[in-house]
Amino acid sequence: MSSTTYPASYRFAAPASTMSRSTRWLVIGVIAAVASIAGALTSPQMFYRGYLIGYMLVLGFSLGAMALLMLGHMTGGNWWMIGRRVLEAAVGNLPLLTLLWIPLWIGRHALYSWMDPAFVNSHPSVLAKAGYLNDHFWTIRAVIYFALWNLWGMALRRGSRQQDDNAAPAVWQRLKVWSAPGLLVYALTLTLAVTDWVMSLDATWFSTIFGMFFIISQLLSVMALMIVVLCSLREYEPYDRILGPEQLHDYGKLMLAFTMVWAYFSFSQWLIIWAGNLPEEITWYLDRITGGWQRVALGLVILQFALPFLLLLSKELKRDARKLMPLALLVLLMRYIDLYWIVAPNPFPGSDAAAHHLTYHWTYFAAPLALVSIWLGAFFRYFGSRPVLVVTEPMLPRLWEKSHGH
Amino acid sequence: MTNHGTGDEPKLHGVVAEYTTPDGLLEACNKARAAGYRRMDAYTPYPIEEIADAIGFEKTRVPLLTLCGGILGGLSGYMLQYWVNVSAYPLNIGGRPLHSWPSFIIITFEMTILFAGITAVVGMLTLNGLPQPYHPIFNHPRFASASRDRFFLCIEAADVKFDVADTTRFLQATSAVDVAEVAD
Repeated sequence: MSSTTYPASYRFAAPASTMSRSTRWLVIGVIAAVASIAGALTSPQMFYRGYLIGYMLVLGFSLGAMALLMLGHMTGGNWWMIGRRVLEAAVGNLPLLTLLWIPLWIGRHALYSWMDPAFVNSHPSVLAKAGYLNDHFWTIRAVIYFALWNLWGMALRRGSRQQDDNAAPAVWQRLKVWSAPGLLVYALTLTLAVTDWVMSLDATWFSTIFGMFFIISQLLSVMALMIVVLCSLREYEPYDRILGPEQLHDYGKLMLAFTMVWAYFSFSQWLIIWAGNLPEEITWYLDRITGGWQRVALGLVILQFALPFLLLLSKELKRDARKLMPLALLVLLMRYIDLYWIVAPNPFPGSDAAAHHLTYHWTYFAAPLALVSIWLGAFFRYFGSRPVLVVTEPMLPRLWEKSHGH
Repeated sequence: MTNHGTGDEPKLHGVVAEYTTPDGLLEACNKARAAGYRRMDAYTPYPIEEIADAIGFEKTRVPLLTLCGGILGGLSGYMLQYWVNVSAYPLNIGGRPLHSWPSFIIITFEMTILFAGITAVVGMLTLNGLPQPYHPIFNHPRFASASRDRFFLCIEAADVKFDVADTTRFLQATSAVDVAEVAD
């Protein structure tokens, strides 16, 4: 387009309220963290589980954001252009997440039965995996995952910062060159990471779709988070000019697609294990559909799939921020419930029996609240420190003009 | 102007204005709607999302038809399997109950997609009145460029507010590069 309707010196600063939001979340985070530490001292096994639930949730925000960011570098799209800095701020939390992983390392013996040699020796199927599933290799692998994630996170953010000042085609090209293999690295490392950190909570169980399931769960989480953040900023410049019903429609469509894929992968895993009905596989589901857990499972089917799916079929709802935003909040809540349903029923180290009756411990709330709040605090701080749009983006003036006409 | 009419007064399809930019077309559509015209159509080389609103395109019934098709497909898929497995050929497979709903879901899902997809395509064609071997808009001498680089707005003679002279003048006042009458 020949002319831009925004001044060339316009920097698209984030709304001033992002900094106070950051402070508010950090305060909540610190209070919840203090409560969590009390939980860690009194009931460590429960605390670490709660921490793992929260950790997988916030890790999903950052890694899912990195995946969408790289996907956007490959494909483009208005939704991506508008939400890009939200995704980058989420990726900016990867160093923080690296630090926040340390408590999991400290608590690994309270989390994983297979850390105990006595357990390994008494379970032949776990003994057979001991070459992979052992304390040292588990730690080394985690170091590799974080090295790769941080490397890609840094490369993507560095390129993006350069784009603010200089639109040299080489920078755009370099981001594409990082993104294509990055998607592959993300899929492979995440599959291994969730196998290590979540699937191995029940070391005798295995499912090959588990990694794929977490990938789509993360994409769904970050899409819902992006919708909530953008909708909450829709009154402020520049979003009041570029975040119209058409853009919201795109976000709604993507959330619908991710909701459906989430259901598809969840059901695939269930159907294959149910049809096989083998003792080493089916027990994982038996632990989760008996003793009260079936109510959580049914809640997931209805509130994570059926309700959002049916509501998102409506075009009106997808185009209306006041309706889309509460639905995205529901999706975020259900992401937490889903992780709770996956993590909490596992057998505790030192006992072979699963948590047969529906259990909810207050640290399952406190630890995730602390992690989510601290994550959001850091997120808003990073988000508020930079222009909210890439000013040199060649497609930006077109979007700006298009929305101006309405 | 092309004239395929036989009498002294050829029957008109409408008045067609030609634009070189999508913005020009969009502006004219908005003006025409504001002026009270309702029966009009826009022709562009590529989809322009805002046009549908600008020419006052009403809600289509395709989504509703698709939903009905999907529900019908899902129900028939499920019921077929229920009938086969429970009544027609009740076989014991791996000790599972005859009505093993989880294993029915895939076929149900596929049938939902199939029926919804077919209903959407057939419904869209039917509601659009396609296939249509003849359309008067092609009487416009340069209409072929609507699939290349030109944008057309046709205000149809069927509009209650339509008047050849008035409408022509109205369209000439927009950024049109050419305004022509098109025979029916």
